[in-house]
Amino acid sequence: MRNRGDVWTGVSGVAFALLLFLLIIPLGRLLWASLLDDAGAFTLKHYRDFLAYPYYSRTIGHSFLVSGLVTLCALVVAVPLAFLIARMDIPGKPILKSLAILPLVSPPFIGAYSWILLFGRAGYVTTLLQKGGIIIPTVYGMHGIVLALTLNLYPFVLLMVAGALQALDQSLEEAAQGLGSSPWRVFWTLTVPVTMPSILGGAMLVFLTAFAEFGAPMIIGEGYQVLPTIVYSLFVNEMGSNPALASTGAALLVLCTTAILLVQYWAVGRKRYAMTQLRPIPPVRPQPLLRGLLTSYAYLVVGLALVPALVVAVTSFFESRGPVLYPNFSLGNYQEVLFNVPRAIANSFALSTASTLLDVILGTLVAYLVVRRRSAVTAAMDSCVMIPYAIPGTVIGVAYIVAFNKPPVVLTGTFLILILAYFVRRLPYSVRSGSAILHQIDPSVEEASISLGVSPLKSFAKVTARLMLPGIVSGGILTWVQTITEISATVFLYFGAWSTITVVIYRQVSSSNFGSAAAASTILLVAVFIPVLCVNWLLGERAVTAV
Amino acid sequence: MLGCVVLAATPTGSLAASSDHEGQVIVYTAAQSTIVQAIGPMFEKKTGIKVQFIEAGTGEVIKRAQAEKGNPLGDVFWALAAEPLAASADLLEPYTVADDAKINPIYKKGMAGGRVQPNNVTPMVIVYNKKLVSDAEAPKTWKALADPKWKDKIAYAAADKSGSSYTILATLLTVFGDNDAGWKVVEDIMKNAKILPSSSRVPKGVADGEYHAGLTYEDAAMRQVAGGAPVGVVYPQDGTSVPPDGNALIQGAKHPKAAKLFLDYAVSKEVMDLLAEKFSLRSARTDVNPPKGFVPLREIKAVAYDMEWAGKNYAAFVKKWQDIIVRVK
Repeated sequence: MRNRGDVWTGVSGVAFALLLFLLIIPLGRLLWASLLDDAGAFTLKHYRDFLAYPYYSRTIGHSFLVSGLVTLCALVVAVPLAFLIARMDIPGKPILKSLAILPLVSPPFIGAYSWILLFGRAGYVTTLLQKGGIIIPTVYGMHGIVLALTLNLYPFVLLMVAGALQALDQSLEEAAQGLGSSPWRVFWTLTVPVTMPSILGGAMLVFLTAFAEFGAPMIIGEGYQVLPTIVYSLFVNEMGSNPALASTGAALLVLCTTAILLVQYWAVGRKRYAMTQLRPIPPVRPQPLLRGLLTSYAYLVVGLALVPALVVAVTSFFESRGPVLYPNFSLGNYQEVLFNVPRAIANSFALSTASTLLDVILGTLVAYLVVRRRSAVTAAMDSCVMIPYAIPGTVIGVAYIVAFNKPPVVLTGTFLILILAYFVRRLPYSVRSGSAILHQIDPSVEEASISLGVSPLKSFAKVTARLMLPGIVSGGILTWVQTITEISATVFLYFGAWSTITVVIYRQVSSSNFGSAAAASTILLVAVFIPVLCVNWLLGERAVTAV
Repeated sequence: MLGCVVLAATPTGSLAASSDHEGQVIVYTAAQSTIVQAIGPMFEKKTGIKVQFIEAGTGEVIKRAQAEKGNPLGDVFWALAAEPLAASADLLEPYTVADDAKINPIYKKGMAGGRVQPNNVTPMVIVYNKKLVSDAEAPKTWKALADPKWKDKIAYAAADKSGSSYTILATLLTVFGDNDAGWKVVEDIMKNAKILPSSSRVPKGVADGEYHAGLTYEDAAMRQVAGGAPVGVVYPQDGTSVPPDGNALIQGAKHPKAAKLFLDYAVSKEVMDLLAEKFSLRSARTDVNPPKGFVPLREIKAVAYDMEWAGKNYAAFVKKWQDIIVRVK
């Protein structure tokens, strides 16, 4: 037993050193600025300023409201869908599972434009309905942000809950039913509580992502500002930024996120269920009528969330004259981006794959430490890991330049800085999905392995890691698709030949070349979709969305 | 022409002009991607210098260079809004381009003592959607936009985010005065306006019919016109500003000689003619014709816009503008 402690102490030492070097030092320096006055003395003045000024302070309320509503809507949409996908035999499941992830791939700054194109004041749907005498509210403002983000982020809940359901062992439900419980009772007293950590984990990811998101609020908020949009404009202002106030906003984002995480600790920490999955539950084939209904529901939800991607794909084949699009079929937009897209796609694939691998390895280990070696140290580690989640990529990008542009460590101008920034920025996905699945796995199997004389690390790799595999792979896929669409840190850190596909899209959007931006986005969508589809197909029924 | 400059800059003159440079240059730019793709290869062919572009918005490239201060990775800023560039003078090295004599001296004022060189110029304008607003109804002045009939129908980019939008705010204060009466006009316009996050959204939103009218800058508006969008452009009769986009040499650039060659080339007649012809950009040079369909500058009523005054008052004006937004939204 002493040996086991030593090995994991070593692992947590390495993990902490990495977090210190890549996260705490670069970001700490930046956030520290919020506590210093012009002369460098300690002050809370910037916090008083921020909170006393309604233009800034009201955005905190806006952020909580938007994120809360988005989380609620995402749960309502995704939990039933997860049950359908994990438990019911409905047609076309591999495709459905793959399509369900697609909303996460759509780069937010172009996906959200699709809603304006359809539901704006002059949107296709708006004007169509107007002709029929129906007036609908426009998509602008708070409710539009909630709509766009819900359909963008519900896959988080879907992935995690479906993963948890897949990991349930058949014998448990059989035993419960054998003891005379009705199916409903089994559902409410067994299935729901056991999947609760994953439901909460997914809800947490949605809430935090929505809380840190600034793309959709910027595009369809029409002046409805949230905390990240304020931090962004304080930070990257064309007329000279306000570093102290920007750091204050960023620090408030981190504080809010930490508070939310503590609530989650408290909620999940008290109830834990462990099990050993030996026999997965085979999907049920419901009666034809019910099957039809459930199938329609699943495809409706997944289809609706794909609307932005579809609009982008259709637009990419429109004819462009400068910034103006005409609905005639044309391949002109694709010719326009042909020069830089192949290299940019290759860069995006290489960079995100490398950083995802790092995330999966460290994320799994950290998840293990956090769940199985609960201590003040590992709890601190868990909170640290989540910091990048709360901070806009812009802030991370700038913090990285400041930290790594001078000896002893010069990384700017290399591709390595992009990999490390992606690694840190997306680490929360691997940690969260890893720890959610670990909550479901009985530690006794691993303990048995160790007591049979297998070394702790080997036992972890052979037993626990293997049982965690569904969670690890779905976390890995999440990390990968979220990394390949990263733009806000990339725009500060990319250099020379390492331009990514998102930089190409972003520049085309800023140049008002929406046709070319749509073409590049469509290429990205297809390039990401094919590998995801292949993974799901290869793993077949074992795959829960991803694995 | 370029050869002469290089020889002048290096008194020894022993090396062949064409090879007296570092062989590469790194350019931070907010120019449109299509322009970057056109000019890059032309420069490489002409000089044999390999050029690398880092493309992002004006605010982002400046922030990037600020963070890199001490060990600059870029050599040149190209085609950034001049006002924010001049506000970051501590990042810049003074330089006089080879064709300096051909640049209209009006645009050299307030350019951080020669640290920023004018590239192209772009008057602030009103755009309107011709399907939603007839030419007769269209607002002819800034003041007209304060009329409550435009409530929720006009678009304006946030002045605390977009540089050009701040220029419009400062222009309004130049026209109507930085006093209660002037700020009242600003407040009345903001009551009518939808606030968008970036300047490119204004002409796009008006062209798409999302907004009836908008406050924006000329070349973005004219690109919509050139593309065939139903957009009309008004040069406000109560007067407007004509600020330049600028270029600059980054202090501590690692490839200063190549950087200077790029700065010279960027405002050469060859490039400026092409930008006017193909990309609807109005040159700061005196010997380049305005793009086709553009009103000559002498027909536009310009106000005495003071870039240094606008830069100095940035924090105060933006705060006042934000207060207005809190009040009216």
